[in-house]
Amino acid sequence: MPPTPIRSDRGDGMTERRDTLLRVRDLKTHFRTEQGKIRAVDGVDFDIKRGETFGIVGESGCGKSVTAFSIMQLIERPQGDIVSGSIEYIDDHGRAIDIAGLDPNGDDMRNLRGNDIGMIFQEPMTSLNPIYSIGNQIIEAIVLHQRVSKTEARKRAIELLDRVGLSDPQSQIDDYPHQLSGGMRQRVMIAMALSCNPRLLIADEPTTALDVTVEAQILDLMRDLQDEFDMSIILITHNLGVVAEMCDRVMVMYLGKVIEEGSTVDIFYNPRHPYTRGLLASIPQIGLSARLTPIEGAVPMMQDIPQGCAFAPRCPEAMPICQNDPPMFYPSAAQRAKCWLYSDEALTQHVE
Amino acid sequence: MSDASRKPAQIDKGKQQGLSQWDLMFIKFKRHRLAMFSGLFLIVVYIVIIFAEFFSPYPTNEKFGKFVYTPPMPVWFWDENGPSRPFVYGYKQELDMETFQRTYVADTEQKYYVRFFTPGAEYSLLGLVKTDIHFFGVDDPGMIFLFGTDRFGQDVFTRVLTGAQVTLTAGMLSVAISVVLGAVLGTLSGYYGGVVDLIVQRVIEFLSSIPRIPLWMTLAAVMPTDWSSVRIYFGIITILAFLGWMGMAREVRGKVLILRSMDYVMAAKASGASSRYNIFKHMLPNALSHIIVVATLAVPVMIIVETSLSFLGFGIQPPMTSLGALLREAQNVQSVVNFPWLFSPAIVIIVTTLAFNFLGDGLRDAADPYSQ
Repeated sequence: MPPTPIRSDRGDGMTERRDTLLRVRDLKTHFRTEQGKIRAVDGVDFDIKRGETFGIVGESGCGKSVTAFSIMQLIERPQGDIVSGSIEYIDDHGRAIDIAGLDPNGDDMRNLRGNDIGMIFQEPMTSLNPIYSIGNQIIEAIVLHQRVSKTEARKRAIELLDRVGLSDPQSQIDDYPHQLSGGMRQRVMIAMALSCNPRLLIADEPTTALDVTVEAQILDLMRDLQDEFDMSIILITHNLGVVAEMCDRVMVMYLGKVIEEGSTVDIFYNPRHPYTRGLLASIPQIGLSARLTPIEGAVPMMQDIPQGCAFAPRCPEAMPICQNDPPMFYPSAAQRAKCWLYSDEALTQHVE
Repeated sequence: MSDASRKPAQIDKGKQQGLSQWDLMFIKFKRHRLAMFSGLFLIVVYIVIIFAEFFSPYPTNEKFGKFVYTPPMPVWFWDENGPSRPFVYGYKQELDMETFQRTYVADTEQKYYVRFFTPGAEYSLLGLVKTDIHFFGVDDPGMIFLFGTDRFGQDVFTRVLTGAQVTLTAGMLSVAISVVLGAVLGTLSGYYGGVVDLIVQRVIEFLSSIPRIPLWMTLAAVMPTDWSSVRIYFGIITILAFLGWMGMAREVRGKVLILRSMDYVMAAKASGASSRYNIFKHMLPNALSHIIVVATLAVPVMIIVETSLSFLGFGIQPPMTSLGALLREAQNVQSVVNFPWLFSPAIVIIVTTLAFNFLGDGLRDAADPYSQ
């Protein structure tokens, strides 16, 4: 099938046509609750390139997990729904598939899940079904997408378990989840997610539930596997240390909106948005005995997000213009920030 | 969790290797002595009642006119010369000159040895094999009435066996039907939620709000009188099942609501599993232990309900009999005072319902990962 031409409508300088894997535009995922409508994801755009690791950071409830679940079409319906926007997945033949337009329970979406996009979750303790052996669950995942016999699938499962670092995959394949530690289970989850060679792996806080030494092992493993399987990773985390270690590019979210995006180096050494600066200032650093500077105030409730810039009430650099919703500014070609600080008007105001 | 530290732990575990959750449950269940014993007891009871014709010495409806209201006959293992093969004494009839009632006195002159696998009246086993071998019996002209006889001279032991056959299988079958109904509706209701859930829940509430006994009586009463007793039997089972699935459906719904939000169901969805796959592969197997427990505890309830219906005269009709129907025949003061053995069906009911409850208890403990 001939490749469908892909529009690059934004012209924001960050989209390169050829090696883009996922293009999200103006994604809005809203939930209806008793307290009113929650705009968990409210107009998010980003691109994922082939082979890169893309970090999404933010505090709890900023919409980073909902973004991931939207990409997988795993939003709990009917309470939640992708209200608008597009999620274009560009497959190996260059065809663009708009995930947002697919039926969440349809065959197309199910083929995409697991096959093209894999996902691992935060809680390895509960992500495996306690009544089946781990081998059984990996084999099922393989058989679901590939026309292979059970024996072949079992062989492949043993290979995968070996690859993710289980010491004795031949016998451990018949273990039940309760016989494995948290780190082992997360390895099994990774093996399961990789069973069909996905192009994109979404890791939703993969190491949050693990202790630090295991965290390092799992991150190392993910990095090795990324090269081996030639896939992109979306790493969702609130741990900036993990981001610094793993990611090529980072997107910072606050209350359902993207407020800054750039290369990891830019974000860490030249953060533009006051929120990002606040996040970085609240990381403990070895050798510094000064008290940590937290961000003032608390994240507002999703139901009553302030008018204009949502961060303004907590922002040390808030200005009158922050009453209005800031557009995306591009302080440099590869970095964008949703903050009035980078508009020309604001600069003059600031000087006053 | 370095890979080196994993090895010794694995060797220590030894036996634990590859034990599934079902294995673990069984190990835990075996530790529950009372439940284990109840389970074995119920297996024996069900084997006996399924082959009731074989285990009873006489045909259900055979009347021995000369032996009306005979008290239970003890089986003796000891005679005047010491230990002996089991035997029963023959009965002499005497008239009590004060009350003018017939009484039966053991006649030590007549001794009838109990014979096993002995020929008797012909019957067809399970409706398939014609045979005349009974598990036990005594040589003519002796009689063996372990639980005595009723006002027609029918052997109460035999009638209890056939009555239990009807009552206990009815309890089992109606629970089986209501489990299927309840599991299907409960799963639909819990998994899909929304309108489906609303409708199923309202139907359950409506059905549960109707007083049970009158409803059962009405339904049982509308069954045509010209139905054969077998059809009535299945009619009763259907009525019991259709009014007994609500509790099951609610339990399953609750379980499915929990399981639906489990990470592994989400993980399976994320690997491309369909709803049907998730329901049958992940949810039902996980809910199964729960369903088994609820079903086990539902059987005694059904047994009691069937008994009540038959006791009130709306259930099983003659010539078929059930434990409730047998108790109905015994419901008068005369029986209580003079013929207490007519209440032996009640003992069977009490013992089996208790056994079911103990079994359910043990299964619940075994299925609960948090119990000790």
